[in-house]
Amino acid sequence: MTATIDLQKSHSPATNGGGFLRRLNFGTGIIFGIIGALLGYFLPHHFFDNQGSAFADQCTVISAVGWVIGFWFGIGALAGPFKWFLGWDQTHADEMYLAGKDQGKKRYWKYCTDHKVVGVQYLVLAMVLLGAGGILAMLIRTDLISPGSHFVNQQVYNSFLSLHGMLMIISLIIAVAGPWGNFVMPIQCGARDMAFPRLNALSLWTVVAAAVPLLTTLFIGGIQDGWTTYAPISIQTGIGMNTFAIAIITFVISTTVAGVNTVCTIMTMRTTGMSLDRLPIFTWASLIGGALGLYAMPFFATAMTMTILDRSAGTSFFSADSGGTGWLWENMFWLMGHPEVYVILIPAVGALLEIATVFSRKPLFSYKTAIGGMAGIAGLSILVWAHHMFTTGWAPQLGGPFMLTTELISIPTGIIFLVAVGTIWRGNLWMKTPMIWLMGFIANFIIGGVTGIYLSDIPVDNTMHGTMFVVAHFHYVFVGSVLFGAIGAVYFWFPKISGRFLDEKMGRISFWLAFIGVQVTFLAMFVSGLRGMPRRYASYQAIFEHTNVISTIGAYTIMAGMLVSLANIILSWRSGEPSGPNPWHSKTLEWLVPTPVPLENFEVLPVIESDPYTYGEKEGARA
Amino acid sequence: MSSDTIEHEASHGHHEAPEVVEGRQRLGIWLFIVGDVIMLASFIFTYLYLRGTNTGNGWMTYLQGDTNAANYGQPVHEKVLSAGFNWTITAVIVASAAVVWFGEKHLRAQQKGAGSFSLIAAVAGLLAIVASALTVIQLRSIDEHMPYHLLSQNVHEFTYTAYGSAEILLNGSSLLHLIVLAFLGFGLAIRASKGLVSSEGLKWSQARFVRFFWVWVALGSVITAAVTSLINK
Ligand SMILES: [Cu+2]
Repeated sequence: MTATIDLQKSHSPATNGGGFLRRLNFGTGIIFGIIGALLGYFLPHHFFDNQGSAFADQCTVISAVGWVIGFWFGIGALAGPFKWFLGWDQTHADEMYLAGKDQGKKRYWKYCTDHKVVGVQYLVLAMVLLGAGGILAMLIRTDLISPGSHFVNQQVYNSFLSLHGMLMIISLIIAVAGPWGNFVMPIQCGARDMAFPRLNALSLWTVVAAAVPLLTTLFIGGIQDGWTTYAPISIQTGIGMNTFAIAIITFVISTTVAGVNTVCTIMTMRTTGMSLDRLPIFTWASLIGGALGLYAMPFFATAMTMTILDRSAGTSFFSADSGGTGWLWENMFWLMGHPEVYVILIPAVGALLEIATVFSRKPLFSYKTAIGGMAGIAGLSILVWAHHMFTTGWAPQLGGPFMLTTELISIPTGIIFLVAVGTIWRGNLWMKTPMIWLMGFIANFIIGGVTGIYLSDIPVDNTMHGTMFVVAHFHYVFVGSVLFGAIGAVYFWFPKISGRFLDEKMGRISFWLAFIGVQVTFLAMFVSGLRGMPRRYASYQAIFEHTNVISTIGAYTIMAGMLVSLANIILSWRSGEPSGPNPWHSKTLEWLVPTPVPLENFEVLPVIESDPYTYGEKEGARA
Repeated sequence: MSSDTIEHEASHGHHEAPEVVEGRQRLGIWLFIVGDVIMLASFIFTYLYLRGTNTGNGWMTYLQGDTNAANYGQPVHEKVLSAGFNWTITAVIVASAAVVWFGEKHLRAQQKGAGSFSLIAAVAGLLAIVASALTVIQLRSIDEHMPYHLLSQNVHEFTYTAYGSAEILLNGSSLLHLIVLAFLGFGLAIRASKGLVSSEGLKWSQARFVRFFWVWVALGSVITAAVTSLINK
């Protein structure tokens, strides 16, 4: 009965808007986005004569919001709510169209609901944003090659520095959770798609919607206040701050939608027998990372909303001369900021633990402890935020407790190390490129982690705060650990998305350039910091010159390594060696489906009878 | 036509039981509500933090800004937003939530069809619009009846006190929520009139999801009204 009705509807697209919707793609998104931005900018000019000093701020805010809404409209993101409201429900044909059925490569430019398409889109988007952030890093390091360099002027330097930070944070949030949390995780669960496929497309295209105003800041004067955009500098800096703030709020919408979708998929879409204690470790990492993001990111949206209001609506959340306080910003920002570090890290760790077990041909060492370690990190991470405020004068009596919680986090983090090393220990190691990136991760994360314990110590922090030592510490974590994990994951799962291997030789060259580059850049940067060089400075005294030259050379080396991997991805996607469906002889479900993976993943949903890490055990040894 | 039929039937086997889909959507709604709870928590935190810090005694005190007056630069105490009006808005929101709750019960009690659910949902949507209008009046009262901190010479330079700022944040967020509620209420009304929401099978589940969110918004409004009327001066 209902099927008949569905079929009739699908043949009258005019009544359900199907004709118009089917013409929408990335291009129409941009066109409508630009129209929205222009309307947002010029309409207020047209209607209001009474233009106060905040008028430029108000117009940029409205313009950036206009872009986001226009882009959503133009890509087709608003069609779902609109059709729901009018009772024009989607037919099965509509669903299949949205999932990209029979559309070939075109579907990659559309609001496509297939989780595998979304995964590939996320991969490309993450690489584009990492590339942009990487170019800024090279410009920053080039400026720092000599003490009084005038490669760029100081305002431009500040805006490069600030945007580099935020671009890298955003691209690392999506670097593992985006491609593999979408492409791989649902298949690992034994699901046919994510829980809410249209929300999945929404989360991806909302990152695109956020990226444009974020990059726009560079061209309207940039921001001068670092990625942490502390108040009151964020209130005093130029109009670039407005598009920056709208970009962040937009990005938070994306992470929230993605977090809900991820948690829902894992909790409700697992196939028969896929109990939580048989769930692949990467899926566990996606669950924990997704839930943590759901908690942390709203604080960022609130903080940025208050920044916008302070700048353009006359409020005084952060201005101390009318009852506000900069500490409000700092609390709000770090309530988001520290958990967010683990939103970035945990999925990368999950991917690396998959690599560890597959390439050691051993079960994951102490599977439940690994889950406990990740959950422990997530739980503690919401209780440590004020370690970023030890030197700000806020609540000195809370210094001790926050030092304690921060140091406690080294325990579950240490557990993750033990799991990784325990898995590799006496394994039958197969040293393919994914495994090599894992080894690099272990080495770098030790350095990044241990220096973090130093910094959590209040007396040390009082000395080291605001120096290049801190910058070197978190780059060991983000570049040396997370980025290595993200690249390892690409080398591991690339055969699944493309049916081809990435080139081993290029992979090794890329690894060694990046690994040596990280040591050169950031060990030298530790020394700069220990000698007292402050972070964020455009020029510095001659005593810091040697270590800065070394850091710059190292940074170019990392970039060279990244370019080799980029070339590898582009070349191998076209003409890499064919891999077959399960080149690593892995036992998780994503490797047991054909490559390319069919539209709904499984012809018949599998029934699971053990955890997927039975390497080296006799068949059926564990029921 | 025929290929469509085949495709539809071929993939029909992939469709899940309605209860499974309903359970998944229910969890999704709850998770979105969790995100919204954190948002509201961050707003209330802001309100209480600014009140507790009271930087420079500036929570509610501004300096006289009329440069011609003899008392230029003297501290003036801002008046508190009307608690009665605040609770009136909250009462309307709570009433709208009660209507939705009642509507869902009515819907599920039907043997067939949707009964008067379409009308009830429209009434709830209307109440959300009334509450939105009252919230706009409240926001304007911050604008009109509260003197600004006006030390600047430029008449367009205005600054709300910390109290005024926090009230703008809370009321602004409430307004956005009410607009969403109105959208959901009228959406349900239209859908029920088309037979897409009814007592049949699980076709009432969307009414239930909307009720979850609606009740949460009403609860949030009660919490906000309680905090801002008990702790202000
Ligand atoms: Cu931290």
